[in-house]
Amino acid sequence: MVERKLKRWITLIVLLSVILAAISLLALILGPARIPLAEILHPGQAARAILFKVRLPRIVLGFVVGAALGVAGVIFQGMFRNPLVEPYTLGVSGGAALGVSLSVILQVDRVLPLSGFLGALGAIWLVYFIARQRGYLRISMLLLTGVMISFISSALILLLMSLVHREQLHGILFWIMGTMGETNLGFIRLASVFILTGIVISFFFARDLNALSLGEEEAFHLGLNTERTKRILFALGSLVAGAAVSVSGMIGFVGLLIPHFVRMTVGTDHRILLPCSGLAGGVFLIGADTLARTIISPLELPVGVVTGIIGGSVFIYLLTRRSLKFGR
Amino acid sequence: MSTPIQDTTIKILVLVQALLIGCSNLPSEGPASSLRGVPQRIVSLAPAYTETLIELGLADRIVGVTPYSDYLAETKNIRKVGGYDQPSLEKIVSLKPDLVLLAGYVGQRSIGEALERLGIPVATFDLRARGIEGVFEMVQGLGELCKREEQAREILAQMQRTIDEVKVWTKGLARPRVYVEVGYNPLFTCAKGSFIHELIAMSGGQNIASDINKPYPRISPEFVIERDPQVIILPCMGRRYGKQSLLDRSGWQNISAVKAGRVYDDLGPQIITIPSPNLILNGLPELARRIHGKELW
Repeated sequence: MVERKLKRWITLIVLLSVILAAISLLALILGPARIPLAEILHPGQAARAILFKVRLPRIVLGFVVGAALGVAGVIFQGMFRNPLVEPYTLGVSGGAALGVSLSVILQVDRVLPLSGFLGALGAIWLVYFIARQRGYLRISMLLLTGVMISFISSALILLLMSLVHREQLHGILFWIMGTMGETNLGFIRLASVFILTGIVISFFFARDLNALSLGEEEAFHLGLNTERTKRILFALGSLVAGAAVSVSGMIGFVGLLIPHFVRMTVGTDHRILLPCSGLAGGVFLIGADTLARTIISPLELPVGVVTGIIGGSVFIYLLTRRSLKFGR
Repeated sequence: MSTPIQDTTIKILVLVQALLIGCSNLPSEGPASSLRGVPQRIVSLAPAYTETLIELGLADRIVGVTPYSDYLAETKNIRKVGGYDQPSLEKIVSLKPDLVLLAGYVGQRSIGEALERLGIPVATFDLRARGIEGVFEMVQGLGELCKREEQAREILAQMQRTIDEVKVWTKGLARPRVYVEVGYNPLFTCAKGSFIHELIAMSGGQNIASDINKPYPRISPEFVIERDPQVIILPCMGRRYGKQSLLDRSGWQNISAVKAGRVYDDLGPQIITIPSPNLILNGLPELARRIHGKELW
């Protein structure tokens, strides 16, 4: 019985990895610059720069951001036992957007991702600080605080936006819409290492998440140190999502849809749900970004447009086919 | 759960039109019928108008501007009518203008309608969509409206002279491929239908985006690498990010312009981004100097 489950899990992971490799290859070949297949095999200088210095980093970025959002979504949905929670619900994106807006206005644009991450950290800290009462972290309090911090940062961003120059507004606006256009390899590398570490750590908490998704009391009776676990999971999910947001802006729907989508296919055990959501998130975002780059080439669509339209409609279709599984 | 940020995004999407398409415009409208005599109290809601009025020697008749005109020393003591993209109807009315010059984008259109209902004359010139020809039409039109036809004629002649001069200068020179980055992260450039595109052609360069049929298209980095510009211009547009961040971009080091050190971010403020006479009088020769480099200096 256990062996059969393990076999199934390994098959799933291998299958997803193969899909990931295939879609990455496709993303490498396709793009607004038409590079014929013969040249891809023997690329000249310009082609090599496009393939390995523009498209490859972008594929890596798509993978880590998609994976981060998928995993953070699973962590939050499991921990809050709420199907509507996503990585952005707890104020992470609001804080990041506020940081970015400020840095655009103060004209320190070169460190945009850094200021985004600082903003995210600020929001995480604030939410945690407010939600923790008498040393106890209440889940419902955490959720409400997160939503309120999001509202406040959103209002502050609107305030800033109404005061700034059109080109600066432009900069903030497109950041909020989400883009995979980060071209500074240093930031991509930093975010990748950070996110992948966070994801790997989260795997060690898969059993705890299984317990927590039964309910806090149940988890406590199962012998889980719920306070510590909640804190770690909140920090883990927020940091991973914050790093993703700071390099890519707000790419909606991935963190909400991928966990549901994967749960429908692989079931609710977090030991398989976490890695599969990571892989699926990466696949989905690389695919969506490839579409965004190529569909009206040489013009480019914001990737959030693609994830929203495709993700939303596929999800509604799936919902009408099967009922949404949640909890265990 | 739709987060407030996403709600914000939707609200903002409405704004996008004003911003991106904001550069395309209303058809040109002449002076309102209610205009009587020569206007003495003018509110200018676009820097291009402000610049032109100053050129026409009418600086003392401007009673209100938007903060977009802040780069002009002459506007220092003129009242600001509201924020960047939201001129305040109340402030405009309180200045008792006898002419309000409106830009064509959505936000200002509703202000125009309200002003007309209040019997205040308004005028709009179609600047962005009509390109350089639109600038000529605006100078002529403002000259007629304010009874400064003589000065307008002079400015127009000077503009035409500059265009001819640059044509002579650049005659017989190679036509380098030029990339003008009007926005970054994501990248935006200017293509067919924008006045900068026309300006590049006039200065004897080839716009790398000349086959795109959209004034300000969003493009991807690989597009720029593939087209391999020989000259890169970063016009100063409110966001000063400088050329260092461009040089740091992954895969951009092999672009001809980067290798030859021909990335320019030193064009004076608003010199090629505002469709005013200054665009031709100063912007055109400055752009031509950068496009042709040593050969013109």
